Amino acid sequence: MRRLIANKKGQFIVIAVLMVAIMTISVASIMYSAVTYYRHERWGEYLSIIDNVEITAYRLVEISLAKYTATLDSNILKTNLDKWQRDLLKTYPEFRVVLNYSLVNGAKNVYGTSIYYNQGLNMSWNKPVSFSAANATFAVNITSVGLTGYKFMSPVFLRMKIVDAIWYSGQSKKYLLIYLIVDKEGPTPITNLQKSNFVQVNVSGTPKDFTLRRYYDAAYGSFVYGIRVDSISSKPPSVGVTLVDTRSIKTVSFSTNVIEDTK
Amino acid sequence: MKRLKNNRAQMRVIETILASFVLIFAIAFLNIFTVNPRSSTYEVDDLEKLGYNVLHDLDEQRLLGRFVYNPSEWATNLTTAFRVSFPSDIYFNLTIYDINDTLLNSNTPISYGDPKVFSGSTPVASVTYILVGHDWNYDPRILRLVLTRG
Repeated sequence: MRRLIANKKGQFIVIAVLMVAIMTISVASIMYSAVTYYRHERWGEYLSIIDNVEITAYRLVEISLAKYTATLDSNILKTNLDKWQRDLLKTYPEFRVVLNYSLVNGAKNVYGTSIYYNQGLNMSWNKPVSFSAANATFAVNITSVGLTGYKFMSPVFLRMKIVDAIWYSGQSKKYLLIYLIVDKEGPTPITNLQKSNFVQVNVSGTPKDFTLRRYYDAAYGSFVYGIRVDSISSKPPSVGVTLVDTRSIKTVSFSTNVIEDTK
Repeated sequence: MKRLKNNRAQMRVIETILASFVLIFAIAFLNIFTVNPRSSTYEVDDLEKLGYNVLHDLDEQRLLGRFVYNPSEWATNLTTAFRVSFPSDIYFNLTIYDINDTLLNSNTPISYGDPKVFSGSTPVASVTYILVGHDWNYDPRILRLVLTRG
């Protein structure tokens, strides 16, 4: 037995294998930490939170603009964002999500339309091209894990253009056709509006019943809403359309440029 | 007889056995850390992603707000929307809270599957989703969706 223990060559091999095992475990542990860093840090959860905060901020700007167009309360966006800043701290208590915001102010050219924002809000109604707009910039910090400075903008926009208002006088049933193009931020055409979204159609200042068609019109190169008002015996001096879209945002277009078509 | 007394040969056998033990121990030790794709960790991650994607899609389609802010739709349209959106082997339970953490749907469960599954040994994922309001009104709702595979 003593001779066995004294056999240093055998001991060396055992020690060598032991060292190789220690090295293998060390390298494997480091490699494992490196490749699974993503999982340990719960990135998926952080991304979900940031994504949800971005969506909620956008929705908040939307509902604030909807309320602004209904009540003309120009502080509504600031009021809602202040509330949301406080409430957001309660919704993810373990992450301490902090939302900072700034409202866009001053003149901006947005989607080819000049908008003068006041407290992040603006509207221009009773014109052939009418719009309602809101805009705010945000920065999200997840302070518990040191993620800071994720910035994004939430522009919300609704624009309605009266591209043509034509009074057809050449037939026995005289009627009026109003062609509208409606778009939102992007600008992206809004294609899913129903008759109920066009809450009022005025001809010469008087509300009228109407029928609605929607289709892509190559002549305008855009998706178009056609509002037909029957039994219009004389050329109207003006037309007006009030729209409340699916987000409850309102805009009102008005035009005095009514063309007569005698065909 | 002479072979039995060959100490060098005996030493080689012992060395080999000891080395084998060391290597087996090392591999077994590493295996503790290994997370294979079917482990509960990945299952929970997948369920969380699935749950968030379904909530996000319903919100993008503007169905989620419509259903959540209308209690009469909880047991009908909201539950149906989730059942249609999730694979049939996914069990879910949705709870709706206001901003003060008051449970709003205590009398109307929005769920699918045996409730015992959520307290069993199967991996359970939890997703939180926020809605800030509906139409013109600021009125946050916190949705907590719990998912598991049946």
